[in-house]
Amino acid sequence: MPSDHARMPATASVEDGSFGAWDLDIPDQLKESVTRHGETLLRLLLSLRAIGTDEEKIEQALSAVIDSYKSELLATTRALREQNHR
Amino acid sequence: LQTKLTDEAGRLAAVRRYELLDTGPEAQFEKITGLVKAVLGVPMAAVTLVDRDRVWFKSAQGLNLQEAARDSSFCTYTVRTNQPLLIPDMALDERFAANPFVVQPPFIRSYIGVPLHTPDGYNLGSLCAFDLQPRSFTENQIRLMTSFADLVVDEAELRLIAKSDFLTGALARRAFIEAMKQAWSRFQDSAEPAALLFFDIDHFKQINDSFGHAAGDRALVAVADCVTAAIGSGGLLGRLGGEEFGILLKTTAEPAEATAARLNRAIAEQPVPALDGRPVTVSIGVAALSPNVTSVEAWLARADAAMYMAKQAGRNCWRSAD
Repeated sequence: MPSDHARMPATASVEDGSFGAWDLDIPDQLKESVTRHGETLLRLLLSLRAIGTDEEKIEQALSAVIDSYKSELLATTRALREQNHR
Repeated sequence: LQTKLTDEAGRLAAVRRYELLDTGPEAQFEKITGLVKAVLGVPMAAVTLVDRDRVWFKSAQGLNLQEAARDSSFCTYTVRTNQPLLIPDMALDERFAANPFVVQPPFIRSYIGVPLHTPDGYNLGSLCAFDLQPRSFTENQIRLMTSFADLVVDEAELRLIAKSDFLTGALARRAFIEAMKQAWSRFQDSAEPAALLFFDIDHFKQINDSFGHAAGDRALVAVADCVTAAIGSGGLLGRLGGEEFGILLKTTAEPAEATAARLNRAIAEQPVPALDGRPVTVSIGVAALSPNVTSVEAWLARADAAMYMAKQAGRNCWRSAD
């Protein structure tokens, strides 16, 4: 497999800041995308508060966009696994 | 990033890479435009992609529109900068006062559009909201729209990653075959031409044996980069497995053969640092769609057979199935 991808060592753990002991190459693109998305969600939350949206609606909005991203993330990791096993 | 604003060819290539043009509404984007409508209190919101001559509405809520001419679109202006575009009153803006969407139904009077800015710096289109009344947008509303626009790009980006080969950035096999199926369907429906270039790197096993697999990977990346630069926005590159690649072109056989000849030269002239500066070569099979090609599998098989002919002819050349 490509050497510049982040294959996590079998002994890695969440505590040491890595993604753990999963046998999956995580491309940098995906790690960067997930990081960016976390930042986007935070900005969205703060923006919704700033325009005076009530907490219940903020929660609904965040749930909707998180669910949506979750589906894409699952599809991406499935594709990733296919490539790893090819 | 400013230079990307003037790189229209690169921007169009990015728009095509995301493969959202000519695709219908999808829940991910509908949710976002629905939220924009609700929180900004506007009657219309859209996710648009600015193509060469048109604007494609990937999501349109409150608007019964799938595409519009680029020169009549507000989003055309939005993608020219990296800032949100605000038009508080169309009637007072000489750029838009006579716009057909302003003077005819739906009689749009105000607009906010935020560029859909990719991580590599291109503006694909915009997330926009329209109102039928003149209105202004507060700083906080603009920030909110920017966050929603980033969400659109996050979703599109993740989908692109799923379709990509992680080493070379080319389309992964499944996504490439899907693109071939769409091209084949378009040929069946409207005789839209398409050609497949199927190629592999000559003596790739020897490269791996002599220089190691890491160097082999670098050679694959070098070839993919060279091809991507050579075909620009005019084609799709896919990695079909190992050292095998496909290129899908919207052309007939003759231009596809010219492209194959050009690629042979470009790749053979490009030194690969990981191979001590030696270039690699490729053998290419060309197969254009014709009524004789009865399936995608048959199309791929024709290109594969033509590539085999190129191998037999001594490699570093192309052969056509036609």
